[in-house]
Amino acid sequence: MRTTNRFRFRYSTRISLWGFLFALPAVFYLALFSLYPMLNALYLSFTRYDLISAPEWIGLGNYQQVLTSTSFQSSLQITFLYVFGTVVPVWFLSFGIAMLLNRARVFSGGWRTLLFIPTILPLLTVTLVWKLLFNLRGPINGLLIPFGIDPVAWLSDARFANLALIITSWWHASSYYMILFLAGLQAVPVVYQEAAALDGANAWQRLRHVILPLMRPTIVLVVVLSIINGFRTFALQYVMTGGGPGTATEIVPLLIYKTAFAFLRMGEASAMSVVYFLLILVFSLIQLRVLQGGNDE
Amino acid sequence: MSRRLAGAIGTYALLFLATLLTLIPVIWMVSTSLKPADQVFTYPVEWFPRSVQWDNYTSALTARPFFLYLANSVLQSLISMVISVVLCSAAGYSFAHFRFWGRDVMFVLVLSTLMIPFEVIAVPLYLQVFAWGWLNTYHGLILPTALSAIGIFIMRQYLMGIPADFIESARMDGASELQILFRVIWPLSTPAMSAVAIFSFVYTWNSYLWPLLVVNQDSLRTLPLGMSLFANELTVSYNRIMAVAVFGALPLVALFLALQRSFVRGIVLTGLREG
Repeated sequence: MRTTNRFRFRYSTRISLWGFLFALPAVFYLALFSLYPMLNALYLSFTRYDLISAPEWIGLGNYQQVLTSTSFQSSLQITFLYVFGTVVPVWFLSFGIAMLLNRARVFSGGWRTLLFIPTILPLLTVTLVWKLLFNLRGPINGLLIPFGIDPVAWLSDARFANLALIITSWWHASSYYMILFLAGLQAVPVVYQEAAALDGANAWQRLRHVILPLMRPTIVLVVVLSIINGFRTFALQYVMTGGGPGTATEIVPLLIYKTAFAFLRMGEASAMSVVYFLLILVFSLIQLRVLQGGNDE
Repeated sequence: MSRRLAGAIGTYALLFLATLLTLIPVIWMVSTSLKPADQVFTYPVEWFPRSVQWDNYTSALTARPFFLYLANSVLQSLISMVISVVLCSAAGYSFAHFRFWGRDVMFVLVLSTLMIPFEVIAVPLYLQVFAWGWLNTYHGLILPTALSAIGIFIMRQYLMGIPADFIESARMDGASELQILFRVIWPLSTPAMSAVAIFSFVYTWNSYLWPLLVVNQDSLRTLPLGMSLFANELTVSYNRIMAVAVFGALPLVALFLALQRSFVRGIVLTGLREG
């Protein structure tokens, strides 16, 4: 009896040890390349550091600087404009296209593959193509001329540069979230819709009272992801406008990049990073609260 | 009946419109990459090349070492993919089927990294890699961004659906824990593993900020860096920029065509991308 107990004990400890060993490499990896840098960002945000002399502790100086500087505030505004200007139309576009795809019977796989193309293209390909499409002499202006619209310097005119970036993201992102919505729609049992139709529900009522409630998890996913992905934009602006003209399209990640690597103000860039992180975090938590809160109805 | 017909016509008309708007930039890209230089910007817009100029590709791809950039991107994406699949499957298996001291703390640590956008840690991560002397090295380029917690999360969710009896009976048959991981868990979780693999590959393929920070030696540059540098050269003609844009897209398009189903599932399961 004693021996079996001891055997059992050792057996289960050995298994636990293996479990620990299986998790350890990944946890160590993330701690090293994700958590430690995050803590480091926090530390650096309280210092002045230019890569040449050692970091010097200055308390809340960077935060004071960042929160009162107009460049950070305007960068935040530009970021919000970009994120919400992009995601709100993208929700409707991608949901609408997914509904259409879900309804199409003829050539359905073909439509889906064609509409999926922007998602397959690498981000850099997308930015290079749209940079040319928006060229002063490019095809977008060319298509607008017959409507009596004079050619616009989309990417070098501060009034239009943000719109041009947003339009590019509509094109690129709609395709992507369409796939998520389509997967969600295909999980809605057809019988529910048919039953509602038999009960005399029209298309709008079926959408409002059958499809949307059942799609709630997908909708929450798309809303939260699209906003987080929006806040993470960098290459699009860096390649298409470089943040310009002036600082008209300088989203926060680009401002952080410039503060750190063009002006070598690592502490200030870290403070911006921490503020930006907290902002995204609070935003995500509020969204999850709001979107999932109504779940019990 | 006629209402239904009208609805169907409306559906297909809108689908056609959406597809057209989706395809126009792509068609314009491919067509421009084959146009003569003086036909790129014309008014009215010309959608197809007057004469097909394949040497746009040869001259563009030899103007910079694009095949080296391609090799670097492939290397970067493949190694990241292998690291992701191996570490995520092991950790996901552990979190799904083992109990050990510290497990929950470890899992919370993993989940908390999901909340950290890469852009926010780019500066300290750069300083860290700089201090280690990893700038302008392959390991500096590849290792710090290779693993994402999302893969661990996906593997765990998937493996929680596998009955513990499978694992227990393999143990009874005398299989070692490593054998169980490789011979039982891996074969059972191929859908989730391919999703993690594809996500990791595509995510790394698109990575821009990190390579931009750690690499400034031409021989280590990845394709996205090479593409944007090429496009910013003042003397480059636009048809050749489009040739490079097409070139940069081909590997992912090929990957998609080869693995369509897993590709879509990968997107649905991971739901994260850059940009």
